[in-house]
Amino acid sequence: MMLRKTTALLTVTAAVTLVAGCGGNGNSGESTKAMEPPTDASATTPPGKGPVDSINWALSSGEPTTLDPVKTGDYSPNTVLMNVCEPLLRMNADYSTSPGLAESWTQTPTSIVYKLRPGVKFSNGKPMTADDVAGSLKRNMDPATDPINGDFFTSVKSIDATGPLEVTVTMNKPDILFAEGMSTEFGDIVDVADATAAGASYGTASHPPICTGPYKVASWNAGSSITLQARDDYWDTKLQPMVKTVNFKFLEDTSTLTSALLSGEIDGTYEAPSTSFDTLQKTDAGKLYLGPSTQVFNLSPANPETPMAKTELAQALDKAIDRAAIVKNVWHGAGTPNRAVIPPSSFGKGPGAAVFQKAYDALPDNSRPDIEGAKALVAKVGAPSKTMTLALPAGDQSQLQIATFVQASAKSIGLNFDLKQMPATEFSSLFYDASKRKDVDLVLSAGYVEVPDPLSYAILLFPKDALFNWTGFDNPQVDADIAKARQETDPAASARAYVDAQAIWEAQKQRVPIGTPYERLFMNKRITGAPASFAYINMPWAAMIGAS
Amino acid sequence: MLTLVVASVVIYGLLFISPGDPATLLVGGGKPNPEVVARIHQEYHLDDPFFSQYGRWATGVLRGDLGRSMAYRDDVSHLLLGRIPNTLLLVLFAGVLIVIFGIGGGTLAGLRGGRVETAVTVGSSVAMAFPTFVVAVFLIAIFSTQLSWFPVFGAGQGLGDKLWHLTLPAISLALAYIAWVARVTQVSVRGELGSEHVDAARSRGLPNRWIVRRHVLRNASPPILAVSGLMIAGLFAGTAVAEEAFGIDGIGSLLVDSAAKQDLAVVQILSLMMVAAFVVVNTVVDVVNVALDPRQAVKGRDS
Repeated sequence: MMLRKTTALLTVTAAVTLVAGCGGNGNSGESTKAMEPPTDASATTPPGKGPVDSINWALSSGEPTTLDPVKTGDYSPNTVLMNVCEPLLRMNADYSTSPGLAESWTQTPTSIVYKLRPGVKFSNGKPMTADDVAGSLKRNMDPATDPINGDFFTSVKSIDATGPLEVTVTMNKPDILFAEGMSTEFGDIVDVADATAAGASYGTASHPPICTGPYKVASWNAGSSITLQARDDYWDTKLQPMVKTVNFKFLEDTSTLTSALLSGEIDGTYEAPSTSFDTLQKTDAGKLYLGPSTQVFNLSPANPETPMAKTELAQALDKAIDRAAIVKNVWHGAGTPNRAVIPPSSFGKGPGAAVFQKAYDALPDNSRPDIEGAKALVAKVGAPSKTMTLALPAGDQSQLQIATFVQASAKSIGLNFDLKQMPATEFSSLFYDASKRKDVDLVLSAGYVEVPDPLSYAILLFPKDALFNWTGFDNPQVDADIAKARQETDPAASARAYVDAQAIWEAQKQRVPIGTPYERLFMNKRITGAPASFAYINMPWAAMIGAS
Repeated sequence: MLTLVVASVVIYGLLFISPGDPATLLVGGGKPNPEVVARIHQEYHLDDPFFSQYGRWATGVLRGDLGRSMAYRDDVSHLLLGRIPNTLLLVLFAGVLIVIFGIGGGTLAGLRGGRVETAVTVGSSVAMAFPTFVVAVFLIAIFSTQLSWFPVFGAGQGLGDKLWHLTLPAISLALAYIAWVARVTQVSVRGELGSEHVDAARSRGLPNRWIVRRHVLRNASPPILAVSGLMIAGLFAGTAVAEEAFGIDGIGSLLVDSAAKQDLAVVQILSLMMVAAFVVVNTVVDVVNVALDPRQAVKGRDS
């Protein structure tokens, strides 16, 4: 589960409300008017038409901690990295995949043979070889590199270069997630010799990775900016970058970011601040695009002892939350309430999608609260007498708003919560240290599903030994279904096993779903073309931008 | 020197006991990997006892090794190099504004009285009430977003461009201090104007400009200097807010960022730098005060 980075200063959030009031073009009086919910969220924006010398792009989650593909898995690193490095399969804006560095592949239940694209060069001029591909993938299994995506490689037996342009992956047991994950950053191919030579500094400002993508890292000044430069020897003739230079600025302060977007000093950003939604939608400096997203907000009982780990209380809270109000007020209508912990946007485009969707549609509509039903559930087991604690990261205004809605809903059915805003390091410790979770009853967590298969997220949450199974949830049927879904390489069959397990954890409300905000992409009026969907996190999106 | 040692132990200790594990923040934004967290703990000696950690850090600093940032995976000295000029320039800029408008305005109000005095009093009362980040938001909204006279964020390249970028941050940083200094100056000048030796000088028929320079301003300066000294030290701390609000890469924003990430090595060095700046500035103020008024040195010896 990827935590959303949060801005550090409380003053920042105060400043945001102010700028929403006095910024814009004298429209401040209308800022209280409720926006009409957008009816559709498109995955793409009008294609770029011509060359652009340079653009400034904001990273609203701050500076990447690393650009080493095996350590990457967060907003900022991915936003930069996927323009520089490419995986074997290319992800598209609609979450479908197409051939990338692998031209084609053949798959049996326990092996995949990738045929590599000939004529691909790294940005240092060296040709990409099968050894680079095998070596890059194996870095994910080498403890010395501190890899963070090991979960997707647990079934791999060996990865070998079996020809000049052929790589064979042999599995101990079938695993649908490995193949699907090859469209994300951990399928990225790097110049392995360069990575080995760099050692521990690999991926930092002093030694960014050398890859095959449309851009290369021209400079990285730790703490201030990263500059990417378009390559003129990029292999894909259909994706020649139109923007020569992309300057990434680290702007975590939402009010500064909003002002910079309005003044045109920053040309664009993903994850545009939801607190500036109205201002960004009204400005004529550029356009706010809304796209589908696999980001999720959920509530998780923090430990086995908390009253919230009781099924009835979790079900009651689930019934009491007014998701429609959260979507309308926190996300200005630009989002959806979720019926399940893992949202439909992650269902992908494969043969499993229909199976996932049918099961999701069969779950009860929970967008409006059912207070009476919730109260009845609470009455069954009795409301806990103590005031419980709901933890959330400090400094993030929209998460505070969500938590406040949840707090009010819970109160109406007799569950009392104190909100506990935690500094970033303390909050992230919750996810690793059970002793830190003892003083907390419920955690508001934000994350995203990266691999377009809900199973990739479920394996982290619900199996008995999953790292984020905080309540000791132990359901042999769920474990068996998840294992089956993972070993089933036919996507539809895998999806059927998944939805069986989902029916169980959703009925017991192991976690309480809240919703998914749309992706918010802002681009200055002089540029267009970037994908509007959250799939950007695994796409060479900058290469798609051009003059409007 | 003792101040610095005590400060370093206190700062290190405070970060040591604050809750939260900085390593968890580093692991790819939170994907599950306890092994990597454990390795980072080992690499940065996070599980060692307090005095062992502190000792390792202190001996490093004494040998000129400022340590390594966990969050940036870079040497602290390298992080500081590019940022110190920005912060120094910002503090200097704000300091100049304070001197010109604070001391200038206060003196004018003190000498002229009447409407000027009322205007300065009212103006400074209002200005004192505005914290830096509020001023920043207003300045950005008016001068950057609406009028586009100044950039919204960043520190710029080259001296001219830097000054242009730092104008709004310097104003937002200096405003409350200007008000404070103006008040102190005004009161101090007023006090001296009414004092006996000024009356005596007047009665001797000395020219007014002479009286103001030799008798009023010189005697009014010690409290003004004392306040200004404290203030310049405070400016260093205040840069944190101004730099965050205007997206400037300086040591203030680095401090906020590192404190939030519990990046011990960086916070420690930056805090010490601020303590050192405080000590140095106060020493300079004392020395200047003695130069202006030799009686101060005698007083200092007596007490």
